[in-house]
Amino acid sequence: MFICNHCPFVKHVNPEIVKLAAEYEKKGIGFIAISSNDVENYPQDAPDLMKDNAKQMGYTFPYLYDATQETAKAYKAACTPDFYLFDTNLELVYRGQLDDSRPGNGIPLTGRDLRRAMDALLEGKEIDQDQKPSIGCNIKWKA
Amino acid sequence: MSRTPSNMLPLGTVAPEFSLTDTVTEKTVNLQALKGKREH
Repeated sequence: MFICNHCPFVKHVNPEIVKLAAEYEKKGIGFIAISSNDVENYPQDAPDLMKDNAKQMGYTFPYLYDATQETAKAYKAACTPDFYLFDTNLELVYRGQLDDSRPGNGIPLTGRDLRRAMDALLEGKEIDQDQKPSIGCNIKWKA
Repeated sequence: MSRTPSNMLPLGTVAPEFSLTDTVTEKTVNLQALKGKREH
């Protein structure tokens, strides 16, 4: 998943991604968080503050800093948060939103969409290809 | 607050390899080392 420190959309989903990682890491799914934001214009996303944020939020997964933004480009990441789920062959099986909840829309944060995809993947079932895009802050590209 | 949607990378795309710094451990890690451990 592509996330960052400062974006309100990420702050909104933080409790759920921590919960999901706790539940699904023990089932064998690896979680990786990456921040690719330009830290010159967005100093809140600097790597030392990412480290602080990871500790504060209780991230059990690595929080990687994509200084060159090459990884975000390779994954065609657009926003934070942006979620990707790969199978054991590292082929993409789900991408898009965590669930329908957004800051202020009143819909409870459940992780429903990503949960369904991970459950189907673990059970060897077909994953619904009707997938909704995530919505968030744009990745802060360097000029 | 800008609202930007995912690009929705095509399903079936193979995860691009990367090598990045873990901000917590300050070590360089890659996808192969971090991917899930579940076998077929």
